[in-house]
Amino acid sequence: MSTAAPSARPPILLIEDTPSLMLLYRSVLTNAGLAVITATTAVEGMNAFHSSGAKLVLLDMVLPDKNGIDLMQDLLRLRPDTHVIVMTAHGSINMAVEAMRAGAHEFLVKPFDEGKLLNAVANAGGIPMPRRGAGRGTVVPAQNAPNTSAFIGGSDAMARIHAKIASVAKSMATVFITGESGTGKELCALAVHGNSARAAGPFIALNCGAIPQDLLESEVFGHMKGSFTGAISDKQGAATAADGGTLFLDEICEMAPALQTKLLRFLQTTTVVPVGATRPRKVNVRIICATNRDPMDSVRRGQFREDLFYRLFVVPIHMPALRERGEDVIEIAQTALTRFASEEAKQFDGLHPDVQSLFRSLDWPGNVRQLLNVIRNIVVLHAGGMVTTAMLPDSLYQTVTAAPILPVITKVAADKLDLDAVLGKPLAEVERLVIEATLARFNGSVPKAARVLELSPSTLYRKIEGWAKG
Amino acid sequence: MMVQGPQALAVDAAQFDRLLAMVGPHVAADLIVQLRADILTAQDHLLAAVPAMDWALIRAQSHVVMGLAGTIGAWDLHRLARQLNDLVQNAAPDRQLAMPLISATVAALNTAFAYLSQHTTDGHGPR
Repeated sequence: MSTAAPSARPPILLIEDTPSLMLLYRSVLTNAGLAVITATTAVEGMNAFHSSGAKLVLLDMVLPDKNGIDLMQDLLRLRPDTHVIVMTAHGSINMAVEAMRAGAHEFLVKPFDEGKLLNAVANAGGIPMPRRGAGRGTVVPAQNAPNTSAFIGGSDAMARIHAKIASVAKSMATVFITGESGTGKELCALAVHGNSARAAGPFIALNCGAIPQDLLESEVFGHMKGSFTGAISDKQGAATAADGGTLFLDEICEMAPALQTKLLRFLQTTTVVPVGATRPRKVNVRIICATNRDPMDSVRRGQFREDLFYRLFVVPIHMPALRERGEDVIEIAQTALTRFASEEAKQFDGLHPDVQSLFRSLDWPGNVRQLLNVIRNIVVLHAGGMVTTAMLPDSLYQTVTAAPILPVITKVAADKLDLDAVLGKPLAEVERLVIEATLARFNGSVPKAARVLELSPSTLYRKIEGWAKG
Repeated sequence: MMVQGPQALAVDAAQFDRLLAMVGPHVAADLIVQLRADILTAQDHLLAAVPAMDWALIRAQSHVVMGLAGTIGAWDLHRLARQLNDLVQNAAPDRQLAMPLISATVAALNTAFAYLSQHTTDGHGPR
């Protein structure tokens, strides 16, 4: 296993057992300014996954010690929000379907060119492509900074967000964004920056949870050549790089206490002192920070300095969870379907009412990010047409909050079905009776009935649709 | 970077040049050396799998060869490795069908290796 220089985001984990291909892919990724760690076996890959916090994995399907699909499922069990791009030299449809159904974000067939690889990485979300020479923070060019129209959906909850962004953007006030993972906190920060007077300046994003604590000070404030082992040249930190623009500190509650003290001093004095430097430098930076935790709880637990919290918590913005956004889920899904279909040169005719109904009822623990993944999965795996429930990935139903599951199907059937009534009937009819009784037991919930029947929900939907057609 | 001689047909020179351009001059030389090493390793493993007809090893190595061949533009080698890989996906592969494919794949690996060797020493390559 090899390690790369830490980045503002977790590194990409590349698991590939053929050394020349490893060298090739790593080279393409690092040339694009991405941090990469590598592993050549499943065991090494799992270790690296644990230690690096990688959220994006490029995974060869055939490894010497384990099947790539099995390893992917292990990775997704550990961190379900990980994006896995499966790479294989065997481009059969069956393999692609198997990989996507098992949870792969994308399926690349070797050989693939630089553009395909980098597009797949960019599409995997959460890892925007940094520009070369931009340092380890992510610099977003001003012209790409979104206004609030980047958010899709006209729910009341989002209307309040739009209004808040509009009102706060023009000021210099520090913004503190909270919300679950996948709700669009970074998009919100970009919108604040993009609508502010400093939109032409840099937007530097730093993930405080993804950088080793001993390097975080250097990442934020920079260092001087020779100030510590490995400091081979002067390096400007994120705070200096953001001069004239916005510094976005994501996962702020993960910041080590020692650095919290230095950040507080920075906020009070607006000067930075790089590691090893003797003279401070004045910078003009607007701070936006974000967390998916309850920041007050972190304060109560003593994990986050109270004085720093109050200095940062000037204008709070809470990003609503997708399940709280009413019809936005449908609007986002339709928009994403159109966009992804266009990218894949396919034609889809919208969402079937059953799909819309299901989407409204789901909890969406991964929020918008999860919804986008579901839509991409559908577009990649199907030729087109109306999106039906049968096209939905099975993994979607794993997010349905499980009610207490009653023991076994025979119990369910015995409650509602008389054995004499089914004896002598064709097996298909018996199956239908059992399924209907199970659905009745769970108030018509297909995912819950499917779980008890040990069927995939899509299979159950297909059967129900078949009966409806008569 | 065209390479002349009998090996010229073994590899799609345009594809190979694109590959070297993709990684840049600093990595290109190392990449060629590593490709040669990987080709030899795959060849060794394929030959080692033959006496006991170790289908799992043949399956894994034909997959590796497909990846390598496609990457450098060795399309004949890629086709052979694909045929071999398809064959050994079966639960009970046919030895009689597999042997000629293995032989042809090993021979095509030799040709690809020769192309890479010539490329690195003919004065036109990145080394």
